[in-house]
Amino acid sequence: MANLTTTNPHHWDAYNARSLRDEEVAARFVPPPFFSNLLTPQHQLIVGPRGSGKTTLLRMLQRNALAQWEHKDANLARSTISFDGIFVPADRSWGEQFRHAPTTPEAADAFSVVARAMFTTHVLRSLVRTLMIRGSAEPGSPGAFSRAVEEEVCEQFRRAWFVQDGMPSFKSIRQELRLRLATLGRTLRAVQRSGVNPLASEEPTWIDLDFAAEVANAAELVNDSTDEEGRRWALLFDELEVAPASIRTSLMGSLRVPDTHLVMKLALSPYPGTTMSISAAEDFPGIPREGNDFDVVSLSNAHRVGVDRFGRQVLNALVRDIPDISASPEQLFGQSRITTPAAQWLVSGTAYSPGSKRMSDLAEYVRSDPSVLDYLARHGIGVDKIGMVKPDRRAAHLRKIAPLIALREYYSVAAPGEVRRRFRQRKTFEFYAGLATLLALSEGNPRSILYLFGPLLSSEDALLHGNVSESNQAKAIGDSVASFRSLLKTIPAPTPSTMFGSQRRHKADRRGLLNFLDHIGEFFANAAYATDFSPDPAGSFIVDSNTPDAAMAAIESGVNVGALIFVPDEDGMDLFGSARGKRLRLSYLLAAYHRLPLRLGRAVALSSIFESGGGERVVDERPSGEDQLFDLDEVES
Amino acid sequence: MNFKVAVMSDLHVGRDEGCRGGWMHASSTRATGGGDLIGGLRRIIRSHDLSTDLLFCPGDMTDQANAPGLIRAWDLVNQIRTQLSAELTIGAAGNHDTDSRALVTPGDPWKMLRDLYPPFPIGADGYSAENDHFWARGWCFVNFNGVRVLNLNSSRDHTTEKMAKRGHVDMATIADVVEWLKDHQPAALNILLTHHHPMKLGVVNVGDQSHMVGGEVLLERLVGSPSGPWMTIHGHKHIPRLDYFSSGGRALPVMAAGSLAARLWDEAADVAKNQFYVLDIQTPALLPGLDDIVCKCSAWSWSPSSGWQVSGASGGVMSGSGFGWRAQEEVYADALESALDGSELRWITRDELVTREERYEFMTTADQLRAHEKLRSRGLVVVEDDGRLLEFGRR
Repeated sequence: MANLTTTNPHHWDAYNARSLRDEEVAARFVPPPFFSNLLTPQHQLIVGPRGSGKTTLLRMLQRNALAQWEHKDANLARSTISFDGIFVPADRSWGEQFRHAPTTPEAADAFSVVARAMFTTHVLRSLVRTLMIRGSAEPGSPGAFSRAVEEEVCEQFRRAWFVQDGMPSFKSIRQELRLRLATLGRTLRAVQRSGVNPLASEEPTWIDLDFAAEVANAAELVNDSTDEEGRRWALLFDELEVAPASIRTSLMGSLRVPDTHLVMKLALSPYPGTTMSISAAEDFPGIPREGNDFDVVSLSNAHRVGVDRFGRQVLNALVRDIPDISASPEQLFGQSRITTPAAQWLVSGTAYSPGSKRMSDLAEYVRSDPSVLDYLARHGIGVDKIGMVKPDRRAAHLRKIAPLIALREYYSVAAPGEVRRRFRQRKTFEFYAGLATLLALSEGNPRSILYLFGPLLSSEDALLHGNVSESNQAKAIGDSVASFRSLLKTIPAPTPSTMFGSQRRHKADRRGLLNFLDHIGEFFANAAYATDFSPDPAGSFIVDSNTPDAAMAAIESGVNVGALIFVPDEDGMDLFGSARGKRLRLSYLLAAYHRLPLRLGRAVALSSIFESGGGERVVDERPSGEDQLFDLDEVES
Repeated sequence: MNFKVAVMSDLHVGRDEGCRGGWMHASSTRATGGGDLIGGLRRIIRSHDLSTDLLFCPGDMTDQANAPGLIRAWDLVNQIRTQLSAELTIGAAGNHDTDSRALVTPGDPWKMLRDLYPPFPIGADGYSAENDHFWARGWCFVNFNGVRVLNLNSSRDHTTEKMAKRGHVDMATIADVVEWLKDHQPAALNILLTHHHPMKLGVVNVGDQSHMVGGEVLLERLVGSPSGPWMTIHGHKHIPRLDYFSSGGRALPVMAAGSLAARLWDEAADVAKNQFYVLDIQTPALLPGLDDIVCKCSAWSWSPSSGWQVSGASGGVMSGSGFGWRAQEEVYADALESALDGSELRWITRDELVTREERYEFMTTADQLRAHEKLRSRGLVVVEDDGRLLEFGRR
């Protein structure tokens, strides 16, 4: 099972939409292109790595959040949506609480009963919270409750859910359910500790309540009370990967039930460790089928179409949120080092015209890197005539290699007789400064954008000068890299030699996901900085058939946490099911740590990265994917 | 009169991430190991459309006398002042802002503070006489729209490491202040701003000896002087609290401001969070049975995992509590129950309670919690969120 750390609070999580108020979520919300799909009353799985915006999307499907959204698409969304969303956040204590299930059958049964009761109680609290917010709406506004309706509904809830104390108000019932949860938590711990269920002798009447049935009944009751007969409701489950496996399986099973009044939208990471994989469900009769019983909405950053634009929209929304900033994002963060100033494009139509800065930089560096000189010579390009190259050959050779050699120039020096150029003592991330690069580092991931740009937008540079210096951008990148790496450090994984066999002693054969990823990053750095220059060094990998099962959990954890990014093939195959056979790359934050180019790079077999000698074995003869190349020029020009 | 004050105390901005005292450092406002603390605060101010007359910063802007941290903190404080449209920032000199170990400016522990711009402690041009007086005498008065602020440097004796272990106000200074007050007309509202706590913080901090020596004498003199009503705002221990200094039948409200951005030491972390405040002060009180000054406190708490939130009891000072109504628990409970009965409803919301019993928000956090317990003991239901009353009524 893929290892998850969602139960361990980490500062990366400080930017989770979970803790924001509805109006704050709505104020920042930028709809992704597929948002309208989510407004349909279909069962859906929303699958994406950590930070990809799942929580925000689910929260925006609630009536209150949607009502406060100000956007050109907002009215259409409000008129399209045909259900009332009930947001069910993951309980952060689940991971710890459910980690140690007892082993004796009797205790395991008791544990399961209590865990299920906890989950049901949690869902009912979420339902009541939704109604509570709705009840606080202005009288007369759509969906508002009168006090009489609230009391009537609450009296029925109290009877149905066996809530004996408190008052007939939503807040009071919610408080009573919280107390019930506390009781259940103590019971669960007792079962874990002693194997004995202290509630067994006098089992409460509410212990067997079923969340789906109770929500369906409650929805009907509310609809009747508000004259909205037939209105649909949707349970919006967030971070299901931290729920107990039995609950996840049960929820997946409920997707099979075509309840026309109760829709399920389940958000989870690509590899939730469920006993039933997402796509493999098709192989079994009687369980839900994608496309038939439910849709899958993927938030993986695989399909880059629209990702850059989306990231820019999220950033624009952030900037707009700060009235003290009058500069545009372009003015604030400037051009990336490896992009072409717009004026230069306009005048010459190319960045590589004779006399252009890029051309002179290129020529100067090429003279100091014999392997690049050789490469150009092999293609009939002399360094003295580099500016005279015809446009078609320029595109084929120069433009393709320019970002790579700029990086080699910035971070490395010649190392004669060695297989790799030596890194300079230069630890800054300034090379990666500039708007387009910062957006690329964020991977179109809203939480990364917030984390990276948030403090920069609050900085004196932004507020007073309207321009954030490269050194401060570099510091922010450094902050993000360090923070992300410290998160990765908490995720367990076996040593590379344990995963790939012990015949090879790896240089840094330590445990942990970060070490595994660093091993891959180091391999790609060797390729990018090889003294024998390649215009298309290895930069991605395929989880090939020689990859041992022992490595799969580490790969899946890497995908879940956003450290490994899925690269789709031409068939549009998505990430679901096994990661085997899939093409992945390192996230750009990790790529920056290893001083790698922010491009896809040629694919090699994962197993070859960890093989003795570390030589690459190409398993995919397709080109590195020029269309997939992170082409900064195209973004900014 | 109504008067609003924002309070940002004990920022403890260090030099870099190696500084363990505070969440922020000179080169970045991102909280080390946490979220965007200042950005979040800006959003709170914007989304609640907050504005105040003054902004107080009761000391310890930096950590361990770090010059870049101090400059950065004062700059941040003044940026927030601008956002709040407050006329003035007034700072108190904290022990961490003073180079008592002679590490940076030997022989002149206050040079870093004196070199700040905008000027310190009154962060605006046109107050040079007051600022000079503060540095020369250790205190100054600032008059602002009928409100008088006594800014007292409780770190004035921090010329050595040993002296820096606690705050001080000497008898001569107290006499000077009292003499000054005799020579001037009473003010509608007097506020003592200082860094150290002028009285001990009580049960949460039994072993604490860092309170201001001479502080209680000072409070005694102020509350007894014919200079108008007084209240006190201080920082230092990061344990937020609303309390009173009592002298006979008179009481002087004391606000122990929590830290905006310090990493809380263990004992404080058990009872507090990082906090930001807006105090809505009213004097004279318009309702019977209240003190001369009443105040309603809006408070927000910050934690690395959840950012800024409206503060409940776990933050220290609960939003929607305050001071000005002092009574026995029975009296509080009677009044709240009367509000319920008067509504003729089975239960009432917080808003309905405050409409019927305005004094509720002039109770301290501790008094509100005690009153809730008293109501429960009478069989009523009180629905709370982290101590904040949401509703109460009968089953």
